[in-house]
Amino acid sequence: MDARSLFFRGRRRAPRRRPELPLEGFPPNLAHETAFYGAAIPELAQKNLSALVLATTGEELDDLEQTLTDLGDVAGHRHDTRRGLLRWQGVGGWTAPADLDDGGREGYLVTDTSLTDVAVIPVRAPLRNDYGVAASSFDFGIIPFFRVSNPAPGYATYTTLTLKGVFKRITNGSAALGAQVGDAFEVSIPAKDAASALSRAWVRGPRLDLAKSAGADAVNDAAANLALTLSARVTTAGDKATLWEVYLGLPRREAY
Amino acid sequence: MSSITAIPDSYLEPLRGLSAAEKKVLFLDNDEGIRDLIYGSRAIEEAAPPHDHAENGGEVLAYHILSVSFPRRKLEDGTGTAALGIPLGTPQTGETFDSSNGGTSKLVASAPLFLPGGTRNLYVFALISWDGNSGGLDFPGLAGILSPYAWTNYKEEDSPSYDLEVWSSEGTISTGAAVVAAARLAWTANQLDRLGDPALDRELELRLFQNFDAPSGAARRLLGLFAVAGASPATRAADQNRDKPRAELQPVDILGSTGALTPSVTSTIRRQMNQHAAAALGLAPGVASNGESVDRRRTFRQIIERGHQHQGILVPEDDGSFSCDGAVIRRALVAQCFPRNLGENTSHVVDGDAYRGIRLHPSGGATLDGKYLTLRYRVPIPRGLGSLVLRFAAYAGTSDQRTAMTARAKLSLISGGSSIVTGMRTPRRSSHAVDASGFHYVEVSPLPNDAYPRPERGWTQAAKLQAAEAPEGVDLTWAYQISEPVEILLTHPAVKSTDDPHPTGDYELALRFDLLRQDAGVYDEAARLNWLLVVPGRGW
Repeated sequence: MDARSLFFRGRRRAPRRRPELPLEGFPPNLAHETAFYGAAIPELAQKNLSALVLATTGEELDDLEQTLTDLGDVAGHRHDTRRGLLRWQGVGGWTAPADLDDGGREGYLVTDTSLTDVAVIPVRAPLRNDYGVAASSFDFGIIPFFRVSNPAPGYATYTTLTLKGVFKRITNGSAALGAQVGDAFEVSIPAKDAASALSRAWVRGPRLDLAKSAGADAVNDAAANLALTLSARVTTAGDKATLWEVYLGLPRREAY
Repeated sequence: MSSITAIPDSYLEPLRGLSAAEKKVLFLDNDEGIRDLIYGSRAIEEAAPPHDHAENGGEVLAYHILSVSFPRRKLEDGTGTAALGIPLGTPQTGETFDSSNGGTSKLVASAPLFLPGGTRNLYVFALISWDGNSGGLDFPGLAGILSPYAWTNYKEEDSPSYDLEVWSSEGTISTGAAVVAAARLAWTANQLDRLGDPALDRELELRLFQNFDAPSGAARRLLGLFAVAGASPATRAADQNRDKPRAELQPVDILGSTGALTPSVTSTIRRQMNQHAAAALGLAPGVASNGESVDRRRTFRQIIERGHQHQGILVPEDDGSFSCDGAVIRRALVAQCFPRNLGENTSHVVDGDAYRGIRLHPSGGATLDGKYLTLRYRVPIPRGLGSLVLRFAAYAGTSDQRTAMTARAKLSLISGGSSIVTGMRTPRRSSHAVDASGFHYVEVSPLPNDAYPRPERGWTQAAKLQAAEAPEGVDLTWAYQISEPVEILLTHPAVKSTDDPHPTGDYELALRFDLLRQDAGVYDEAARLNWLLVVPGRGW
């Protein structure tokens, strides 16, 4: 039995299932991978290579184009890592309800001089890698970004906006949120870092190491469900500052 | 016997066909045949959810599916600032939200869910604050309905045929101090499988109903919604993760001329096929960066030592060559809902007030006077991404017969610069037009759903079920419509030769919508946005 007959005797390759979405107009699914990586075997035998490389004719070629696309997926797996975008996407956040572009009516106006809860933001935080190594060994953490501005026209520029956040575990139904995870953070944003009332500036917060005090059970999870309680205050009575957006990013490796 | 010839990566280009001569070069459709012979034909999408690997061998990031926070905000009437979250209120005297007691449950919030292929079960957490002073907060008390868009409806009890997708939250919170609690709603594989093929990406709508009556004076509020896949991807030890067959996949029976082969023969064949598989990708030469010529210093398959993501997308370089970005995991970039105006100024929330969304524009005149609802989101855009897909739910207040809903989008680096949007298109329309504010725009049609069976009439109350057609006792006053998908095209591929491909980076996505009453020539000031979803579209 040669390789050719092995492949094609009584066996036509079933059409590869191409993902489709239930509604019209969507592009193909990008969220799958080929299994070939798992199928590659280290017992490389160069002598068998010749059995693989055969000139082909006729009907066996029908599916070759699709196959090459599949192989392209594998090539993608072997991809150039210069632009590897590990952990690129954020893990949660909050956007102020809207912006009507008519003088800054929207956004959240911070006026209290004592810390007041602004939002509770659910977060899916990676705490451990695939091999059971604690997050701290893998450079995990969360970096908050805040979009802030001075208040609407007519208000005085504020002095300092303080944002404080605490992560707690989301537990299931029977109790309050669980124990605090990682360090609380507090960011002070002086007015000079904020944009004008009608434009908004991003301010990068401190990097938060969630694993630092995650507790023994944290490393047993690939990820933890957390809730970030965000509170805010201004330093000086009468000050007002506008908070527009919170974005919780993950540390990422830039281009290799 | 032919010689080895490289298969250029440029075959990844979606629209490029292969010539007959090219097809004859190599016999490489062994790929799938080998896989089937060795490992069976189990759908790989189910076995391998999208994931990425860290440099030291691998990690799986289990991203959330939905993360929505209902923060403090201004009241729509401008009279003040609402408390944190949205109220889980009490009904008017004589009314009840308890559907098991003859009442009408209240729609609290709805949100889009983008379930990546491979998602077999789902947990939704409702974060609830409670002052602890008004008795225990008993669950069940919230019910969730998960359904395709076409099934969208306004009332829990309007969906009797979808009962299989309705679950109540678990657990009971005893009386105590003020807390933030998490009520969980769970959908299992059997239940989710009814809503489409789990191997494929799915879009569903989550609607959360309050079907309990909070005691008078109780300060219970919904702070956020959070959805995650129920099961984490399988954990594999480092030494099991590389260059070995997947343990859970079994060889299929290989039939010879006299029947099934013996295990020893099967084993021999499998071993040979393994060798072939490695050879096919491990010894075949690689491709030079121009995507055309052979680079024998590289192999088509290489062991990965460095960090990477599944799956890669080929990206054209400035000089016309190709490299693989490998960056796009398809998960929602934006998923937000707008449960505004939920009766903040009264504890007696009646059903009709339950859910109205946020106004698209305050103007009902012939111009918008520059007063749009502008939604801005920070989103990560990798270089290899060719488009975003937008979908939204909106309410049209007008009953006009001719309306036009326009979606507008701009996408610029956080650090500044021009928009990288090159056009927008829907299944019916395509446009490269840009408005005076630099937004690309396209007219968008609604999909039909249970409440709006006449989508051909557009975004209008005229498309909705008439009162005489509605089920008895059903109030569809604020029922909304859901859009067809809108593709926001980015700078890959370039429209003009002078277009630069966009760099990888954090971008600000700005969105606007407007609803024009075409006959009257004025905008619909009652139009409201209920939720929106943005997911990565195609790779380049």
